[in-house]
Amino acid sequence: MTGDVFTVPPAAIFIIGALLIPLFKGRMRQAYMLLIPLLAIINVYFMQQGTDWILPFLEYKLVFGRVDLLSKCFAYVFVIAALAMTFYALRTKEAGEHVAAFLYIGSALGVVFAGDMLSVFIFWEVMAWASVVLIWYRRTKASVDAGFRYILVHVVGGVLLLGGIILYMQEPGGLVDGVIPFTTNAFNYTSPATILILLGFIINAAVPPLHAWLPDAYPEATITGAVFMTAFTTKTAVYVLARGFADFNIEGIPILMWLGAIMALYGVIYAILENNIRRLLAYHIVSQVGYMVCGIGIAASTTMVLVSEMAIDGTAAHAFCHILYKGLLFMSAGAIIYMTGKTKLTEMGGLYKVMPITMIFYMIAAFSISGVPLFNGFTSKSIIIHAAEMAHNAPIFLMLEAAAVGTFLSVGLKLPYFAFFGKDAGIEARDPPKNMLIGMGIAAFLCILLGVYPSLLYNILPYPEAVADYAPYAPAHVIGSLQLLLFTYFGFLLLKKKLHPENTISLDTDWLYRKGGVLFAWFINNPLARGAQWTADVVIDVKNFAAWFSKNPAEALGIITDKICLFVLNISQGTSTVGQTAEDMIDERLRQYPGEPVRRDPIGVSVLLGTIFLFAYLIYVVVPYLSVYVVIALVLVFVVSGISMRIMEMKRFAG
Amino acid sequence: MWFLERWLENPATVKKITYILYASLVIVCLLGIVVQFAPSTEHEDHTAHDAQDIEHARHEEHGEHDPFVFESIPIFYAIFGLVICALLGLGAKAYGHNVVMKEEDYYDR
Repeated sequence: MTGDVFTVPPAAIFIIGALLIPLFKGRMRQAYMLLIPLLAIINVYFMQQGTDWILPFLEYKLVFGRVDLLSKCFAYVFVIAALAMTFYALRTKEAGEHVAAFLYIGSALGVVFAGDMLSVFIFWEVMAWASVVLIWYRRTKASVDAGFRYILVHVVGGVLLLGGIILYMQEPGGLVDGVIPFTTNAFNYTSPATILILLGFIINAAVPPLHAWLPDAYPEATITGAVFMTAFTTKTAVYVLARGFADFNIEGIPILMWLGAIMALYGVIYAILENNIRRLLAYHIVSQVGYMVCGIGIAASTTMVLVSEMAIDGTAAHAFCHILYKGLLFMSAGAIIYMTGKTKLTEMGGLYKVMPITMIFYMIAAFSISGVPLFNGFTSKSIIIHAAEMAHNAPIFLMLEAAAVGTFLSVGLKLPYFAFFGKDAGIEARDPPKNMLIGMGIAAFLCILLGVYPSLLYNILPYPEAVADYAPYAPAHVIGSLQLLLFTYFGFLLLKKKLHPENTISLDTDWLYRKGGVLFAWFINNPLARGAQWTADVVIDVKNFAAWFSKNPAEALGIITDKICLFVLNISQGTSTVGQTAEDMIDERLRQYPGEPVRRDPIGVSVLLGTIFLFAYLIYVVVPYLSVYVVIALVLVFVVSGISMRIMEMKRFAG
Repeated sequence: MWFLERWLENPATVKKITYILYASLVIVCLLGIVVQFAPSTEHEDHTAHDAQDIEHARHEEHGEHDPFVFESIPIFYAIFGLVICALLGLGAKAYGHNVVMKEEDYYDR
């Protein structure tokens, strides 16, 4: 039945749709902008599995339509999130910001449906450049700077990816009939190509120590831009990792599993220290994406097919839920900043009185991310943890559970306590405009819906049969989770004083390039630039001297020799006449220089010069048979003897 | 939401909420012990029916019915939650104060 419906790559809907946004104004633009994600949702629903939309490009072929359960699962949440976020962003006036956001969403969808590495790379780059515009539209100095750092990191990531792709093309199976294939688990061996591609991917997945761009840039983006950014960059990276690297081990070590688990804890620890609400939430993106990366690593670590499939299911499910609740968290935080103008926890307090609906939406998202039963994080995160359990991996299991505690501690307890409750800061505000509330409402509804009816999500996962038997609401699991969360709450109440937000920033790995960058700039500006300037100056001086000298070499030599006699050896006799000191005479000669180029010298001088030239010619003939040092010594001897002869002559005058 | 405000700012309510929290802590612990030590009806079903026995064996092969040793500790998750909460909270703050936390204009200087 669905075969009859004509579909296009959803990337095309957003990208072409984006370019037409500036043509509309006011309400027409709002209606048009909502139409695009709606069309895309219908389009994705009717897309059939298979490979389609193969376009020639130079001597290659681009595959824009590889549709299977994994790509469809990510595409569903991308277009649904796009709808909610577009509602949220409707009141943004700048057409350019909307265009950037839609190009960004479109290219993320492009990556998801790309069947070859070249299209992945192209959309990868569009994504980076479209998203940096969302940062720069904030139009503060901090956002311009953060945007530059953001784009530099992503350009490095793009270059690594491109390098990896080019190397991959040389490997067997790397270029088939003009297509650089991006098949499932294509990168299941270590080679320079796969390592470079992995590095390109994990920069976008914000894996420490390559993660610092995320908490650096997201809090500086526009209110609505940051909401879009939470959904797409890291999740496309999770998608490509799940697609290509779900069987990737280095020397038998499932590297992504360990990186993911470390990531989950790393984000949590930094979030506890944060004061800026959006940066706190950004660190929780790092943490939550850690679960997904870890899920991919668990799939690589085990030989049990069911566990491996379950881990990938968990990753996809968690990415799906994460986009919804993290979008909602950023929408709520954005609403606070939009309505109060404050970004720091230390400046907030008692906001529940003035922004109650925002508070409720925030809490729904916070309960979701923390894995409270009946919210969607509970039904998705637990699949990954369950996969770790089935793979008998106790350290990973405990690390992920510990990260869950930390997540509830800072997103579920600390942030709401100090922002919405706690000491009343007496801020005048109200709930945000209706369009924002609708966007938040859609996300909140889905967070609860997928928490209550997880099978809606489980049915669209890449391996539905692997999670068919999985029951998140088994009594032991629910009670275990409640114990974990309630005792975390208890711990928070005990530690409340210690966990007070502080007016500081926390150094992260971006210190290396922020401070390192300053050092590098100093090195360029001082030693390097001065060295270069000095070399240029010396060359120009030599050139000027040579030009001056060649105008009248004999007179020039005379002046130089007299100068040496006068100023170095303090012999002035013989060069001065009555009424003129020696210095004046040299000045006079310099002024008149070059004067008459041909000196009317006695015949003896001509003979002398002729002899010198003949002698020079003799040396020229002999030189090839002499060593360099001998030649230099000879030249020195002549120069010195010439000068000393002149000196002797002057001494004779003096005598 | 003004009703909520008056309600939340009343010390008696806050006290009541705190008691509810303490009560729920005890309840989840008790429930956890009950679930852990109660005879599992599901398990009996497995042994009763041949078809499910095969299913059971399939899961055994994938290690599903083989929880970690530490999970047999009563109220493991409660203890784990409290300990990790304290470790993370205090550990992160200690790390922050000693290593990474700086003045806000650190990068502008």
